[in-house]
Amino acid sequence: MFEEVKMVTYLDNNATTQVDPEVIKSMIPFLENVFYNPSSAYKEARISKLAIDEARSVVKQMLNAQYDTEIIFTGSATESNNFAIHGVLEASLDRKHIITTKVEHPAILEVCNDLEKKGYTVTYLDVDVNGNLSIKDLIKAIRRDTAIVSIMYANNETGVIFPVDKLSRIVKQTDPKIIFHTDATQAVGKLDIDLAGKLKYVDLLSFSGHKIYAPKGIGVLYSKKGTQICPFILGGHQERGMRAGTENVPYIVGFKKACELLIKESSERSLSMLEMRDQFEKFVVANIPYVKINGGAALRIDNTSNISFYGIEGESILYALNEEGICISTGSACSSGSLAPSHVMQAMSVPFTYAHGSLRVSFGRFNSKKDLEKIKNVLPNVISKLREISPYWDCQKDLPVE
Amino acid sequence: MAWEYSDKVKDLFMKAITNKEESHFGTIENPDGTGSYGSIACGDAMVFFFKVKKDLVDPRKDVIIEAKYKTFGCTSAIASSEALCIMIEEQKLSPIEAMKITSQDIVDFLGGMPTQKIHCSVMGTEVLKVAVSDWAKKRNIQLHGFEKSDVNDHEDGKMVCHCFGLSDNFIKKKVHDLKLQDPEDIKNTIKAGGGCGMCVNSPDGLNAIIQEVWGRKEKTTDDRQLLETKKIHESLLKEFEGKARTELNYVELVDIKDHVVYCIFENEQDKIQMEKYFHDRVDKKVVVIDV
Repeated sequence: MFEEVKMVTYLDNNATTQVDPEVIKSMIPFLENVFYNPSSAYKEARISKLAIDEARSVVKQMLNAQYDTEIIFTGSATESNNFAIHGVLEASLDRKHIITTKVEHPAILEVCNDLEKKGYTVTYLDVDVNGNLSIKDLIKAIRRDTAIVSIMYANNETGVIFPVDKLSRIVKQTDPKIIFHTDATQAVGKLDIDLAGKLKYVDLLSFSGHKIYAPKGIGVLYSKKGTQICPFILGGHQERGMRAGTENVPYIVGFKKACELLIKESSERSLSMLEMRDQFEKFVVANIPYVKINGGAALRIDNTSNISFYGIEGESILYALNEEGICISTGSACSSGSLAPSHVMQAMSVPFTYAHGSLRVSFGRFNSKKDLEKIKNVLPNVISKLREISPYWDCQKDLPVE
Repeated sequence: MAWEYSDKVKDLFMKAITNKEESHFGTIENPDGTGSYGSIACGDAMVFFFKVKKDLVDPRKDVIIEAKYKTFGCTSAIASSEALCIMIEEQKLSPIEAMKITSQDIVDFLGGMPTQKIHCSVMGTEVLKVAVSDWAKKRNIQLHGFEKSDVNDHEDGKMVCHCFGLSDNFIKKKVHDLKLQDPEDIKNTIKAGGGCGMCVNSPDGLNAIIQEVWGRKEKTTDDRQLLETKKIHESLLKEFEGKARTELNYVELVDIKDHVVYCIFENEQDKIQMEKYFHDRVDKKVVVIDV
């Protein structure tokens, strides 16, 4: 079974990434001999403690933050997001309003939906057909009792980048007491994060290890010094009381290695990702009629391509591609258990005729031209077969049915 | 989400997309019965055709000899369509007998399906009802105890209630026409929100629709500070009607909220100048933001 996994063409790096062998290597001593609880008093435990301190410093360096203590290790980006929103609301009890966007990850949206039931008010900002936010909408949404604004840096489905630098500046200049949070899970490793410079108005920033070639189960919340936020998980003094629970030392060490690799990583790699993405999209547009590149007109991260195919359903495309050994994902309804296309496709007003047939291809560090060739070879045939079956496609004319 | 499909589902799906001869997808010219169900908005749609061997004495004894489909949908929707056609053809059923095929029969034939996918098999039985009633009409037969399936006509607008396939436009109209005041009203009248309940509080859900139709209830905040802010706001507005508009340099005034002015500037200097201008003339609290 595990042999099989190695053979696949993995083009779903926004879902998760393969752990880098160097990351695994760095973790092993902490899974074997250095098992000590960093909170213990004996000298052996100092090694564990030191490893965490070093990791914190590397993460700080990668984000260009100011203080090590601004880095809080968590269990995932989802936890970081929950922490950010709940923690801020608890620290500013007189403020009951939240601003976010319609295209956030469920780790933000579902938290907000839940808070609405508990008496908070949430403004969900719209995006336009290209996936962009309107600054005017944001300005209009800010209220006297706004506690937190949470806007993602790059969208997981389309890769569309929000101008978080500008948005955070406008929010903080309007009212310095509003906390600005960004979910940067898809941005870290693909965009330079500069918390002392470009992003100096950002108070809180979440991301996770498994999108940057570290294992699943480790995340970070950056919390700018002085930010009013309460802990979300109680029960210990770890992370200066901000996140209780014995530190996940091996994963923190792996996370550190992953950050070091990102710092070292040359810009060539990102360039090759951009090349692969652009070649892929060019190929699809040239060889398959009636396709739509979602977010194609907006500024996007280099690795992500979200394409809709008219008249067919994404889950069946995914399945057929998987039979050929390709792993991608879809924003179609049927893949998620709900009957609606993804909230992102809906927010971008992608017509239903296209929205159900959307595919997300996301390249990563371990992809090569071989993977690109593979999907180029397989995709057109899969699309035309499924269109043959579809009642919305006229095979004779190779056009949508009137 | 990765679905655990049975071998039968996989097999029928792959047959449909790789081997035209063995599979049943396609159309029939001059069918004896045809119908469609679902819509592209719902994410599932099926068109179904069949041909019968006509019984010369009693049309009720017609036997379906060929069944075909065209389906827009996921892996299991396509496999269910195949399953339906195979079941009908193999059992040599009359259209009336065929109508007794339940969605559970299709699920069983497929060797089970994930719970969330059961609606794919329901589509098969629904489309069958529509097609059989088409056949009955052509053959002049009264079908008893059978109502024509409601064909979903909510293609306009966004799906809100997925459990019952209702769009925002449809719900808005009903909320307005039937004067529905809260999600409970809506549920009792048009079912929306009565299934999983996800759409009650979703961003474009029932509560949002109620607010949109009947107006938002603004929360009132109080105190003297507000009054002061209001004064500043009013003088800012006045300034922009008069002097400020001509004396200050800016590209566009985006918004004025409370004591905050949002403007687009050509350079930093103009922004500083505006801020100073308002600090002198209006209030030190005025903030100018370059958008």
